[in-house]
Amino acid sequence: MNTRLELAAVKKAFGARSVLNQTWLQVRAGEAVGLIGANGAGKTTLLRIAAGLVIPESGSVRWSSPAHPDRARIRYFGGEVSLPPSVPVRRWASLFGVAHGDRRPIGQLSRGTRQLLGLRVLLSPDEADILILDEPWEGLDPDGSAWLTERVRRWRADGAAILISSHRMHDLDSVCTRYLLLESGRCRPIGDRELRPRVDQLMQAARRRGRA
Amino acid sequence: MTRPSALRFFAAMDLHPTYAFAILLLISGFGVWTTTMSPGELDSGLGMLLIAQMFMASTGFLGRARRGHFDPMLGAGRNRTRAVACHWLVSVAPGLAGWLCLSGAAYLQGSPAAVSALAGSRFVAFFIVSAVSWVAGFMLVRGAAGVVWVAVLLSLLVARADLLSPAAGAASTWQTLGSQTLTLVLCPFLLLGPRTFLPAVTIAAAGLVAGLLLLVVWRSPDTLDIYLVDRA
Repeated sequence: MNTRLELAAVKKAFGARSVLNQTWLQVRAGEAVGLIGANGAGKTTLLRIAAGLVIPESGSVRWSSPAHPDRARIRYFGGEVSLPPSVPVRRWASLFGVAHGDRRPIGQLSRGTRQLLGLRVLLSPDEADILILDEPWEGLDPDGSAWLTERVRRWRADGAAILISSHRMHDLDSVCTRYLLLESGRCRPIGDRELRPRVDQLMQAARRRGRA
Repeated sequence: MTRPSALRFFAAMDLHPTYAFAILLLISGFGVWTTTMSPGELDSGLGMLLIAQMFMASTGFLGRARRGHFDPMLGAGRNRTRAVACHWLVSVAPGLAGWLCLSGAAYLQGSPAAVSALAGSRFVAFFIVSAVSWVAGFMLVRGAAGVVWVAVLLSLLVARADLLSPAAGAASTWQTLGSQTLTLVLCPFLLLGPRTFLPAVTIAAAGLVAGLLLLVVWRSPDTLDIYLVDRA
């Protein structure tokens, strides 16, 4: 009953390229699920389906909340690229009720500062049922990473259902309660024993692609 | 984190470039000045504003949405139709402000065309431009619909196309009504000036077509994929 986010038999293709094929996923209140997979596996597509931004061709997505069964409060962050570069930092933050003194356009900030701005706005104190983060540690310095880890832990302790995609295993390790591997369009649970060699394999494949 | 209203969100999104506001201000100021000098010259100012609105209303939606800029307004739990309608309102608001300033000034000067600019056929022309330009630019980059529309009108001008012959007179058949309506939607500038041969039903139909186009696009985002184009 405490399932907050559920994807059932979700299928998604872009043109002839099938991205997700019968994907099932559940995230319960108070748990943080780490989503891992190779580049191009469909993690961002899956997270955007979970956030209600991309519409699956078939299957269903359900969100629930203890207070409002049909109107869960969802927070999604797609990374610093999703912040509007021409909008001043102060204006963007104030839109969401967050105070910020910087008047520069978001596009003039460094990548890490943009990422931190997006996360600070998203994770500002308030209640939410579901938190969806796409590679949230990317570009953050050690202080920023530590801050984010602490915030995600606190949200989890407060009962939020959290779905995070990242390639940074040590950061995922510090917040996630379980992992799902997205491969060939399907999600499958992956345990600690299988996780390490599998992640090494993915990293090597990514490095090979980078060199090619 | 509070959730901003869609209207406030899009108003903060810089849908128009700063130089567009400067151009709009210049045009509106010039229009007010010419109307003050000669109240009968309102249509020249309104014509310039219509051309500016062709570009200003075309703010582009899908491109920015697929860069993730509108994610907070389009995810689960948000009313996409309301969000897109608010995007249209914010897109057309600067042009509307200029239009109302100019028409209001003309009204105070006693211009005979001012009432029509505020609540008649001239206002229908403004509505058609605001609706069609935004709809045509929905999937394009900012200002692109204005460029395309001006190019089409210039090509018609070069071809010396007889868009709306006075001989057509009142719409006596559905065909005449249809062709005149489409002509007005394509070239709303025909509603400026003393066009007494245009029946009210044609003008109303053109406004209705523009409104229907808006409604169709407002309803479409429920089926639109807002995937990220900058991410693998």
